[in-house]
Amino acid sequence: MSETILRISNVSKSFGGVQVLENVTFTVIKGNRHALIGPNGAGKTTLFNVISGIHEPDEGSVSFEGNDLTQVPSRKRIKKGLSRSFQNIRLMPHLSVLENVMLGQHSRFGIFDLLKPLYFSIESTGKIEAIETLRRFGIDLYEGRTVSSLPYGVRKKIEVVRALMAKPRLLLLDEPAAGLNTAETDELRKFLNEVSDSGVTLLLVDHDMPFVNSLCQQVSVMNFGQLIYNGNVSGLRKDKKVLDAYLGSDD
Amino acid sequence: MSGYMSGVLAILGINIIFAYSIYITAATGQLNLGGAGFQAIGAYASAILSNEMGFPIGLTLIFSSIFGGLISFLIAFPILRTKGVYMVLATFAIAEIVAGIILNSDYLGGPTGIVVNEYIETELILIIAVIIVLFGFYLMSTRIGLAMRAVHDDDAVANLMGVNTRAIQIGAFTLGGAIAGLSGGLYALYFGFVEAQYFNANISIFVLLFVLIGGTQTAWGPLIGASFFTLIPEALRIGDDWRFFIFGVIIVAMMIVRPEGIVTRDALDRVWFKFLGRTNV
Amino acid sequence: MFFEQLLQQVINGLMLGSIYISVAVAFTLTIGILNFLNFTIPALYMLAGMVGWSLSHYGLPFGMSGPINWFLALLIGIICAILGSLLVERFTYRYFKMKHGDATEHAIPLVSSLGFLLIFEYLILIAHGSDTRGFVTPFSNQDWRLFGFIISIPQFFSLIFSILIVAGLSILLNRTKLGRALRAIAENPDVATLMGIEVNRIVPIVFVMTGFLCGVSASIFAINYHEVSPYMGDHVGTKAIAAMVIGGLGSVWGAIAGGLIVGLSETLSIYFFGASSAQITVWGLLLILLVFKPTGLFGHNAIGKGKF
Repeated sequence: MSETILRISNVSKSFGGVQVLENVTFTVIKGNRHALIGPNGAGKTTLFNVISGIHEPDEGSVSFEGNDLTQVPSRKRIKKGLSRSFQNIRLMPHLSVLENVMLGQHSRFGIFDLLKPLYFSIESTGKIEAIETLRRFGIDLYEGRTVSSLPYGVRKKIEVVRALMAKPRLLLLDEPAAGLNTAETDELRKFLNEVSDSGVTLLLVDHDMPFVNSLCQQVSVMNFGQLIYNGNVSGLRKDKKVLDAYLGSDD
Repeated sequence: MSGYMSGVLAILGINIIFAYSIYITAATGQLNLGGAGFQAIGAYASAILSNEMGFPIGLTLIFSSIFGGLISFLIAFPILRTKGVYMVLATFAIAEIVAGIILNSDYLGGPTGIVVNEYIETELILIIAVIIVLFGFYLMSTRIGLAMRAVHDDDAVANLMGVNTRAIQIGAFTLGGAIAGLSGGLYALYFGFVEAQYFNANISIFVLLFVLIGGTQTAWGPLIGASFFTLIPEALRIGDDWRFFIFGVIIVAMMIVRPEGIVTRDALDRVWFKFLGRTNV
Repeated sequence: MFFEQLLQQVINGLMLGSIYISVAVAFTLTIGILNFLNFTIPALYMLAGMVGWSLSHYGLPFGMSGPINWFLALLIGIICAILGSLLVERFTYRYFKMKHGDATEHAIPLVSSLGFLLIFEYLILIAHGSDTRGFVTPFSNQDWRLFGFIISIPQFFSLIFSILIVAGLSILLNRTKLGRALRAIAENPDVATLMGIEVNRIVPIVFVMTGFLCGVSASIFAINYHEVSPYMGDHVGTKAIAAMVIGGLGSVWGAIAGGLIVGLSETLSIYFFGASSAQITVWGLLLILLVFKPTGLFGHNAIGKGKF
């Protein structure tokens, strides 16, 4: 029987009188690759922010692996198994590739490990793992450079790896393919398939429909803060509400 | 070693320690423009404890650090609620208040100051400076140091990565205050005299400038900054007023040409890579 | 008897506040429009005062003339403050480009302004030495006696003058095209450029205003207190910053209110608790405000958050 890993129940949120999320309800099944799509401004990133704990919903709740997240501060959610990437790349500009990625591991370490010097041992905690994952994803270490000087596509990929470093059970990816060329998107899809095969549930926002179609099984569609479709990727093309939202209705 | 040389090295040692105190908070993204206040706390604690209570030197210095750290800790909670320019002004206000309290207190010597009876040698200052420098490098090489630099770059995302941003900021501020207190304690014991008028805005500004010009991206910054601005004027035999004038010109020039400071992360990595063939982590 | 003395102190406090008003407005304008805490301001103030004194005492440099009339001397002093301010604009603000927006990057213009503070202050110290000098004007010591209270005439007119200048500035900001451009830049410099505002031509105007206000304030001080010194900037600088915060960063009328409040608290504090208590009172007040109500009396939230 498929297990629910994330349950969004009747979540509503408004900012300064503007209703950004209205009564959104859907679930994500454990092990799935689930897409969240919709036109710009539909509220997708806001929903991600609610799941991460940045915003508190006005109404409704989010539960992860059966536990209500409402009382859990955003800082602690990554430790619970919930990690994310960002729409506008938010890597630390003055840190190196390796350091940025190793930051993702922070929540896995206790105070004694946090106090161990990283620089003088080659095999320090987590470092091997970080280098390995970067290599698997085809990202060079760019030794001697800070992240701010690297190309967009590379930084996008680094953010995904950083999110993975927390060993999450649910990975939220906000537009991971945005700005990537065809080859890079292919690499991303292969990589995410591997990640999914290793047991991580994916919930991703993206606009690249072929990418979404080829990667995900489930999809939820939002428009103007409301959920208008929730089901298989295959049913998407035929759903009237979705077509209206994207193409505009004739009447 | 000549008396003159000894004096210069003592000042260098104290400046280096003071610089690290400001660096630790700056590396976390907070600018403390009130360093002199915490240095004063340590200096006066040192003066009183050794004069009135006959504490031995080691204990005096420990308490200078503790007082500096304790007051920083208490202040950190309200101060760290402010941000940006407000935080700069708040730290500035703290230093002014500390100086004001000292000036108004007869017990603390008021405007006349206190003569300190105990005395320490330059060697002790330098040994402690080396320890602090090593500590600085050690701290920044740990995951805590990584977390600090993450908080500096983007505290919102650092928080989402699981970093206890608040604890890091308060911790850095407290640690900075403790080390500044230590530098004050050393000052009092070496120079034998403390007065509130010395611990003024200029001192706070200078130490912050040492750190920003040296560079806040790596633990080399405060060492280079403090050394540069303490030793070069001596080496070139520049008189007091000209020294500060040139200091000012250098600052303006640096902010145009190399605002990240003398030692930047990239520069350090390039040097490291060239000599050792591998990276910093 | 006590009440009369208290009221006299209040009057003295308000008069003292008038010095702080103009400098506070200089600070508040720069932070409001340019998001820049300009630490050179106390040095510009001092520059105007010392140049004014020097001209009225010695005359033009290189013996080009004898001592100059006090009014002209102060006027040239004001011009020097303006020129100094433009120097700061040219070598500080104009080079600043935000790349990452983190805390130390925001501090770059602030640090530069500290550099210029050192440059101007020590230049004067080198050229002139550290002595305080007397400044003589025809108005020295003329008082009104009103119901038994002493109101110094020059101070009274200085207060009115300060308020008028600042009121004029406020009108400029709110009613003129230039003012609209400045407020647009304050909101968002990038959008302002897109709207066709020539940011690079208008920003220097803020610096001109800064220099002017500092010069005027120094002149008022010289006329009322009959002295100048290379340290006069330090005395006023911190009080003016306090005034700016109390009034609210970015608010011109706030700076007026703040200046008067600081002058009052300083005077009353000295009267009741002694000379060195003023520092604690003013800065203690400031700290409490920064922690609990950083927007001050009239400021608004957008200013200064995470910015310098």
